[in-house]
Amino acid sequence: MKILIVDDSKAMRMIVMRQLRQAGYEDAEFSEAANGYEGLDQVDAHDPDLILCDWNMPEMDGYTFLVELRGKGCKTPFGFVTSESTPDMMATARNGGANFLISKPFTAETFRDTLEAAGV
Amino acid sequence: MMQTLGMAFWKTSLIEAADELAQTSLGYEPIGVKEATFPLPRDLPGSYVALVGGEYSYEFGFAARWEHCEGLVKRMLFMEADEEVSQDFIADAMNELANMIGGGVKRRMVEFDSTLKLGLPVFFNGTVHPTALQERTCSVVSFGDYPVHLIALRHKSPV
Repeated sequence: MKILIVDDSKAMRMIVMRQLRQAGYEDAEFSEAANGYEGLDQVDAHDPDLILCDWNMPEMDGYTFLVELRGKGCKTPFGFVTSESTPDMMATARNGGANFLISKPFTAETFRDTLEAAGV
Repeated sequence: MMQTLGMAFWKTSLIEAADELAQTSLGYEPIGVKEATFPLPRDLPGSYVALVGGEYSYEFGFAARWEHCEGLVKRMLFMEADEEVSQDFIADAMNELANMIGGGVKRRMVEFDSTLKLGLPVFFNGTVHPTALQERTCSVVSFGDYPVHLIALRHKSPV
């Protein structure tokens, strides 16, 4: 499985990868991007099976990235991994085409359960 | 909806969010909490995040000695104690820890003040000197063996 992780924090990208490996995705092939613009390039370059994305990022935020992707017809499962998980933001994420939202802080079990529920 | 949230609620939300972080991303036991007083220790590196609301603005700090910041970061990333990490990386990771606490705080407080907006974390090594207009409180909480200062400030938002 090819997983794209989009987050402006290198530390957070590392954390997400470690937690995914612990959650059973140890054979996944990871690519990384630091904002939505880089994310769009990575999608074109790697055609990921799953995209995990922060919400607040410089240059292009996660929501704009999602809308751009869906506007291009990209149907790749997309989940936000974000500190901000108010009901309003969850609704906004779903309306924009996100498949799920994982709240920080998280555990490996959080990823396993959420990805299983999303059918990924 | 906007209700005035007192310092006690703000502080409790902060401690609960820190405890949630300790027990999830860091895999610690529930944190122990001790009260601390100002002035704080000098040259205490840490990450600071603002929650800006319509009536009040809140800032909190997540601060610890350098070696303890490094220990927390390595714990979060499952790194060995002797692995090399740069100060920039530690600052980035401490900002993420603070950001996660900020999200938890907002989740607890937004029910009462929907105007709250979470800012981005900033990391610096220094000492916070609250002004007379800023209410303040500080607790020292234990993330495993690492004592961490949780600094909470509140002041009226600009009109």
